[in-house]
Amino acid sequence: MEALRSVTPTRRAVLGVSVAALVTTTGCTTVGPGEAPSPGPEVTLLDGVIENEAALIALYDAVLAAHPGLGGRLKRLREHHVQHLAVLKRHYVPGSTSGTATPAPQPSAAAPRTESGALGAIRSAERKAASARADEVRRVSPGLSQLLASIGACEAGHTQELT
Amino acid sequence: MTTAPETISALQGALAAEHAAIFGYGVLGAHLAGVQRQNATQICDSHRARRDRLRSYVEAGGATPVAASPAYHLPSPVSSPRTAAQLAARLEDGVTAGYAGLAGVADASLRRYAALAMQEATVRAIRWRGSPSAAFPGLTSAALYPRAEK
Repeated sequence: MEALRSVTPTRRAVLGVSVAALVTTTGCTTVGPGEAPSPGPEVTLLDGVIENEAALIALYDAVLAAHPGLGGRLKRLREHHVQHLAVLKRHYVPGSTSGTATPAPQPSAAAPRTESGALGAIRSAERKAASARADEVRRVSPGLSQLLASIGACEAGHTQELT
Repeated sequence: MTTAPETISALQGALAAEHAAIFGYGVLGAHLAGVQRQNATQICDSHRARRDRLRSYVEAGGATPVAASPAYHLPSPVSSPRTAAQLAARLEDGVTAGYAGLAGVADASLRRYAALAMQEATVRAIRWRGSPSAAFPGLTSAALYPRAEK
């Protein structure tokens, strides 16, 4: 029945855009005129996002070490950042990694003494991260933009889960 | 103003998702009471505001905005406050996915608009569901592996 439509009618269209645009970031092809920025700034920005994700993981680790009782709430959220990091690292353009392709090791983060303080610190870090992602989407290629937008949505969701 | 066909298509995709959400909230709101019902009403209003904004973007790009369908297949039946909340969460998931295409268009300000809409919808989905979402809201795993071998 044609009148009946799924509530997610655009999924296929979304994917079409996603894949085409993500391929652009790998340097295989180009989509759209004059849209792909030079790899330099994008690699630098990607470095920053990767460092941010690594820092978030370090914060979770510090909090989990200091407050094992929070494991039930935090471990799955931490795992999301591990997945973000893994996918982000796939988006370097081969041969253009003039930046630090491997981010410097994170200094160990400090955990607040109380559980509520620790949750507050993570919530605040997640909020900042989500805000940064929404800003960064303006400065990267469309394919990477979709990925950063999705990561930012996940991080915004984390702030809600920790509220 | 000339707008690329890909951008119009992405705007229409987000608009269609907003239409679906507005329809769904209309159905589920009747099964909620008190604060939850107020929340649903407020959220539906913000979906309407985004719908109107998207329509104006499509029109500014020289195209005709997609209309709402007369009926939608709801992904889950509604018969109680619990099932109403479940449906609301799924509607928000659909909205997040609907904006993911717009997050990849050439216009940088539209990308940001889409990214913020995805954040809002993801937060709402978690509020309705009371449980966490995915690592990559709005995207499928296929979109994360652009060079996966076949």
